[in-house]
Amino acid sequence: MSIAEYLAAAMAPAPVRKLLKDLRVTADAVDEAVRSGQAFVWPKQRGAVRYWRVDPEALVRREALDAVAARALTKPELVKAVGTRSYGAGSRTIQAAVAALVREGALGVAKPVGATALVYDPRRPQALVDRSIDMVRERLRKLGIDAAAPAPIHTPAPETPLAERVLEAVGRLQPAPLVPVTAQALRAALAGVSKTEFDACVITLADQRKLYLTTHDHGWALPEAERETLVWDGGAKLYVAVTLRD
Amino acid sequence: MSPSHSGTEAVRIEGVSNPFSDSAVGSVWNGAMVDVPEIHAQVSAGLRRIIEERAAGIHHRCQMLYGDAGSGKTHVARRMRLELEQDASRLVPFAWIRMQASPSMMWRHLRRNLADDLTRRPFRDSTQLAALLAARREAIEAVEHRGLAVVLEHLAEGRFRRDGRAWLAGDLLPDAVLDAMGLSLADADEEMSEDESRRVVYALAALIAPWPMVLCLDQLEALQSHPRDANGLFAIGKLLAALHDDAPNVVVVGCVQTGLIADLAASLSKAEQDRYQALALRPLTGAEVRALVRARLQSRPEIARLRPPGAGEYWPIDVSRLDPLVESREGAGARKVIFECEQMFRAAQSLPSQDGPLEDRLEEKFAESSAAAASEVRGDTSSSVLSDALPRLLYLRGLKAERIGVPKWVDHLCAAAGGREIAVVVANESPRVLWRKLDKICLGWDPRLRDLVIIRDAMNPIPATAAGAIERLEELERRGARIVTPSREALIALDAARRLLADAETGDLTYRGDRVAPSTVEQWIRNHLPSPATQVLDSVTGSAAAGPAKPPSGLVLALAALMADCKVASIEWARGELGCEARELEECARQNPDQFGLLAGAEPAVFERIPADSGA
Repeated sequence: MSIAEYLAAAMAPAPVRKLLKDLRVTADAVDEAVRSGQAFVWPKQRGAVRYWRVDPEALVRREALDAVAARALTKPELVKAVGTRSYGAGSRTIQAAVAALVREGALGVAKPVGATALVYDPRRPQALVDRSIDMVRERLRKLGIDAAAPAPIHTPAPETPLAERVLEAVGRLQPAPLVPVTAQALRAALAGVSKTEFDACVITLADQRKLYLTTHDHGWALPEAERETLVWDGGAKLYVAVTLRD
Repeated sequence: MSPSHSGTEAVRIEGVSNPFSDSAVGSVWNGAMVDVPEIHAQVSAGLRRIIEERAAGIHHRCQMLYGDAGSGKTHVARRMRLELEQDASRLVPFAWIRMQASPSMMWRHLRRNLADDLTRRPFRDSTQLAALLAARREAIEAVEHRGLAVVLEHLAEGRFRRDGRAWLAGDLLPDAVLDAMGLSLADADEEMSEDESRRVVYALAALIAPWPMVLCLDQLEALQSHPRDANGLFAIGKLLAALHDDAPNVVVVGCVQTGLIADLAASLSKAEQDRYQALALRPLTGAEVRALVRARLQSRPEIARLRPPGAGEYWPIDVSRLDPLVESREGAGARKVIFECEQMFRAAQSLPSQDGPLEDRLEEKFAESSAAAASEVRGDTSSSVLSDALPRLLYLRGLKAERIGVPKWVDHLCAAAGGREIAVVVANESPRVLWRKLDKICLGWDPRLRDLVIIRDAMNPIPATAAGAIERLEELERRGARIVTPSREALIALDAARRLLADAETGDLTYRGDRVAPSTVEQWIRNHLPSPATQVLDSVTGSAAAGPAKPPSGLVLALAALMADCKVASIEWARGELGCEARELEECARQNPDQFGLLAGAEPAVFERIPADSGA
């Protein structure tokens, strides 16, 4: 078996001693594999250099982008999240990859609340907004102030028509394009709007073909408190999720 | 309709088979399908990209594909399967698993279906496993699971083909076969069996690594045995997290109904939610609906030849009648569109609408499910049937089954609101393992706290030589436990009911193009469940009518084991074998009419009762 085949079959970076022993090759052969791009050097673990078919930098970059897709993270959080999924790539490799991604504009860094820097995906600014709101709520909670108080930074002004606010919130909350948003999450994002007003607005938007609605199979069997979070059409239907129409 | 002449023979629309007659995609392994590439193209392209990137060593999260019932989730899976099979430049093994299983047996279910798909014919004129062994022969030595390595060696050399496939699927093999194959004897309890199956799945994935393998876990919602079943939701999260973390070369595509999105968000931990990425199938646009209709019509070239002059390209379908579906709040799902077109085509053929009353439809589907269950139920699959069926059916009686926080020897802890708890144990293990399990139950069960029901079905009779197991069963019965022995007939009925409920839950059960509400099916089953299954449930809940004293369960089991061997025997001979009185033996047979029959005459006899449809 060649070095490339051995490393391709490995499920994780292989320590050099194991590689040399299993394949009975020389260190020069391993270096040649690295030079020819068939193997990549990985940071040491327990004092041993490691090799693998996968480029550690490419893997770490991918994991970093993945980690902030849904939620902005502080740098230490990001390094920790990537660290658990990067086969011991090491914090130095991770930090270097994150710095490179920031330089390239693939990641953004902002300090929206105090001095804490948050790393986020510039294509998903709502993840930064959500995290910022959480941080503000946390600060207020420490001051003994009810966390429900602060208005979302990104929410349009109250005089914006509710329909626009609903559509904006669905676009902001959807985890990926055209993935449904639960009625519960949407309702929470528009705190202060009465159930009657909210439900009527969502139904109207669906009838105007701006939203799709997903029916709840057994909504009427739910406890009342849970049923209230669904969108009711005033008749027999209860809807559990909404999706933007094209 | 105007006839059209094709050659010397007149062809009429009435003679054309309906191109819209199969609205439901049964299985991804079904043959040729009419595909419209632009429908759900983005999702398909995304999955394709993920498979490519996984082949390059990039590890993604699991994919959770949301879609309403009939939106095309299984169709997208079939498209993926076909693309992978038709790409002869590489081998990416693919398995499709409908997760209609109990959470406590999901790894065994996964293993069985993975093995079945790897050994399914035809795949490029052979099987996926054969192709894999040919390409990765040298990797078998590195397989860490000894049993799997041994079996793969046999299969690669063409030895023990049938038994090797059975072992891969997790079937119980006779000791002599295991010995001949060089494998350890099977003496795993429930927990060990589940763990063993997980290790086999991981080892198969590792054999294939670094090539990707695609596992499509369809109908994840079927892991729930009733709406808002927390056990089922937790199982979904744990399964995806485990596959994500421990089988990095596996591309996991979980398919689940959109309606579950809120429950999953509320029930799964953040760590579990971080391990999957959501995708969704949106309803069809007007253009896509027309493309679908066009493609189906074009699959029958004779329709174009029959088209009257001046008729539009969609003849005989009036596509404007599909616009209300597109404009509705829920949008148009492919299945509903196809159903409406089916009806229009039938009308053009002067045929009546196909569907009779809903009751008839449910009866028909139950009969189909019973036939499928009858052909599949076996001694080594009956436990999975019981494990999935009992919680579903007990729920219809107002009992919820829990698995979280229950003692390890309990399979399901059931209780009606405010009622006494019932610990249900399915005890179909081999005698060697059974007495150890019963030992734990003897130590762990306190009759003051809860009732105990032990289920050992008739497909797994306890041999008379298993004295230790029989003794412990009798001890538990003396302490108040109920021993229930479902007959093959009862198992078939339970399995058919659970299949029907699961189909309703997953949206596969339709009537006039719309899914049948699970609550409707639940009510139908309450009213129509065959009596052998009802009797089992009565025995579990303790609501069986009081009658003459039941014979000791040991005698029932011993008689079942004797009849399994000899099928029919004189009462005199049988009582000698079992060491009991003739009257006792006759009473035992009389009280278990679904298992035994009696023949009166000069020499009374007892025989094993086999259901008429069993084919035995």
